[in-house]
Amino acid sequence: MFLDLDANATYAADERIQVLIAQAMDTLGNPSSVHRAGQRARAAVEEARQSVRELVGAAAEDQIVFTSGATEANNTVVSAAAGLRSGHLVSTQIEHPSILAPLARAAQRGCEVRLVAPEPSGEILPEGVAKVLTSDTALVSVMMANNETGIINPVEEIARRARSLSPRALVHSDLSQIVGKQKFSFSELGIDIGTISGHKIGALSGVGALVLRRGIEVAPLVVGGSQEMKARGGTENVLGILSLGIAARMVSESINRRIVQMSALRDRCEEIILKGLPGCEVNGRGYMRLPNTSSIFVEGVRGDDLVVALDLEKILVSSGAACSSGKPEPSHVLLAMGQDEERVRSTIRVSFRADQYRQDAERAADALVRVVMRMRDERGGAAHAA
Amino acid sequence: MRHDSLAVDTHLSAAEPVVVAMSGGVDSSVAAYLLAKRGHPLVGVAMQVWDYKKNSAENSRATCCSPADFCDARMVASKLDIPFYVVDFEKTFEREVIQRFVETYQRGLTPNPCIDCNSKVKFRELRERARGFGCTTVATGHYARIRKSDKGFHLLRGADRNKDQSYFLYTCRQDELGSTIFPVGDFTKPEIRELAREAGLITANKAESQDICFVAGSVQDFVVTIGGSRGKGRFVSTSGEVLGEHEGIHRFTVGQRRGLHLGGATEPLYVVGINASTNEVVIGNRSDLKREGFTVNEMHWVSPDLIEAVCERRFPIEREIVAQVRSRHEGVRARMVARDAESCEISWSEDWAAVSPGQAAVLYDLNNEEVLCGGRIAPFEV
Repeated sequence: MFLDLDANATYAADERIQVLIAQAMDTLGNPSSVHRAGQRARAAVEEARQSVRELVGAAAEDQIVFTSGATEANNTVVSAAAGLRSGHLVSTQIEHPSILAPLARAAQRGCEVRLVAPEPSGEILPEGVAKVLTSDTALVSVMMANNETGIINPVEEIARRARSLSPRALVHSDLSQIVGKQKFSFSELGIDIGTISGHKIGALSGVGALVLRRGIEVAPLVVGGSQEMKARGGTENVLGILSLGIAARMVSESINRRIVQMSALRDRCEEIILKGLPGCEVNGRGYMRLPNTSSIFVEGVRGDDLVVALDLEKILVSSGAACSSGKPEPSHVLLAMGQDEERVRSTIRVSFRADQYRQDAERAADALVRVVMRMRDERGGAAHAA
Repeated sequence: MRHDSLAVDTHLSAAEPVVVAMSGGVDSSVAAYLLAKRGHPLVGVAMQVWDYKKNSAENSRATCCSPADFCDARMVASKLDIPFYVVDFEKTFEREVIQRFVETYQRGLTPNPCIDCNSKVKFRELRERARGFGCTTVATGHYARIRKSDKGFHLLRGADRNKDQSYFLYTCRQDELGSTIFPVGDFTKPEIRELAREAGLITANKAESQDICFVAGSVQDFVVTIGGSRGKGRFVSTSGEVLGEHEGIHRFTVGQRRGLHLGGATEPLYVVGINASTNEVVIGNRSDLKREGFTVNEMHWVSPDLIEAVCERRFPIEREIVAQVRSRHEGVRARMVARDAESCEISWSEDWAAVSPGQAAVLYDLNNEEVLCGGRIAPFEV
């Protein structure tokens, strides 16, 4: 059996969710239809909305807007903010490409974009953000947890600074990776907008949501229908939204247990690797991190090759963010942290699921130690022969 | 019958997976198919050697190993139900193949990048990284054959003489031959296409890839883009008379007839020499290309008996051989004399062929079947 240690790329729906999604397959009317098939679909969508609201700790007056995923949600936020008067946009160098790419496009169109660099630990400091804020800033967007390192940023404090220094700014945080891995409350974070992703918590891919604080409106990215309170045109992805609702409910019910289990798995895995393998380092160790994520530098091996070698051992990890291009570029996150390219290319990411066991973590760590020793031998041998 | 002959190539352990290099062409696709058919565990690897987007504005579809080709390779791997990975070799390829290719042209010599790619990338780094994946054996879609005798491993021409690629493989060492499989080497190209169709592979009717996979446009432009131009120079006759001006020595190869743009001669004109130090291209008649023999440097000894002779330093080593002096050349009988392990002298026996310094000379046995050794043709005075 494959051991999936790439939960940050996608958290595949577990069996219970699969069954519930399958059962929901006959709820596929158009939620905008008047007839009863439409009514059933509408009810399912609204129930899911409530589940998501509870999952993120949003107030009853806050809005949940379903999108095709976190990428669309992030694009919506940046595009909306870029259309505002000042054009001064603040974010960080470690954001997901779905923030960075729209920001780059906004910059080409004349916006002033400031990207705050992380500390060597990977953390974004509130002071660093505060330094670039102006009274005219239109957007402050800082991800809550980084997908590659798992480092958790002090978003609450950043939001507080943004409020006082940039009262007109939309304060946004990409919450894709924090959901299901750490307890938090949207209301207490003090942000205006949050992004969440379905497939990072066990829903189907192709669904995500924006969480909008009461009274906050953003110009829709997708127009052509009055769905989602006119914030996102297009017939709702009913099955996707249903799956997000189901996953949200399950996560809400089990969040404490999930955190305990995932941190135990991660700590055990890191312990075996750091003990068994000289020349390894865990990025951001000792800082606030997601309980399931290890970003591990392994001296003397290529991260990409290690991913292949572990896949052949039926252990799924990644060498950074999931790569859609086929050709892996070195991680922009680790580079921004000041690491050199060779080190970055020798780094892999291990991200656990909550339904895995201690023996899984041990099997993975043992395999990693064994494979790395073999790869180091081959490299040493080849260097010798040459 | 033929499938059994694969077993002769190597002593594969049945359990250990084999890395099969998949370029997205029909040959490597069928190589994977033949091994998969034998039930062998496989790992498909596409070698990312060159960033076509970054380095060429032209349509990358014209070359092999482009992203579109990898897509085809991925489809084949999926059809055969084997894991498939794109592995990055760009740094090594740029250093060992591209730079050498450009520098060789700029030095007035004729490079052969496929040989460098085989020796430094496919049969060295790929092998090293395959071992990192836990695989000691590498399979490729080359048209060549490997046979084992009690003396060691023998590298033979492919069964299809029109497609034979043994010329490009003379740098293979014994340990490399012993852990390599060429599944298509026993077949003809039409048979390979038939097998691909039979298996329903997406690559069955795909066009042949170009000679130089990383150049989408003109070789000369590529050399200038990557390495810069050494500037114009002069055409001179064998007696030293200045005949005209040329656009740079990288545009010429000894033996070349086309593209000289020199009129007025009664006989066809050829490039008979290139002098990098003066930036001159020497022009002459076909008879000026004729030499009694030539020197070969950077020797690689391939056949077990020659390796033994060299190891025991039984110099001079003399053999009657067939010399192939460029990729599309049938080979001509000659005599080889080696006085050391690094070089040898070749003298033509009856017929002769024009040789280009920098190109590989690969020496076969008198049956013109087995690769004995090979090296680079040394520069000579004109």
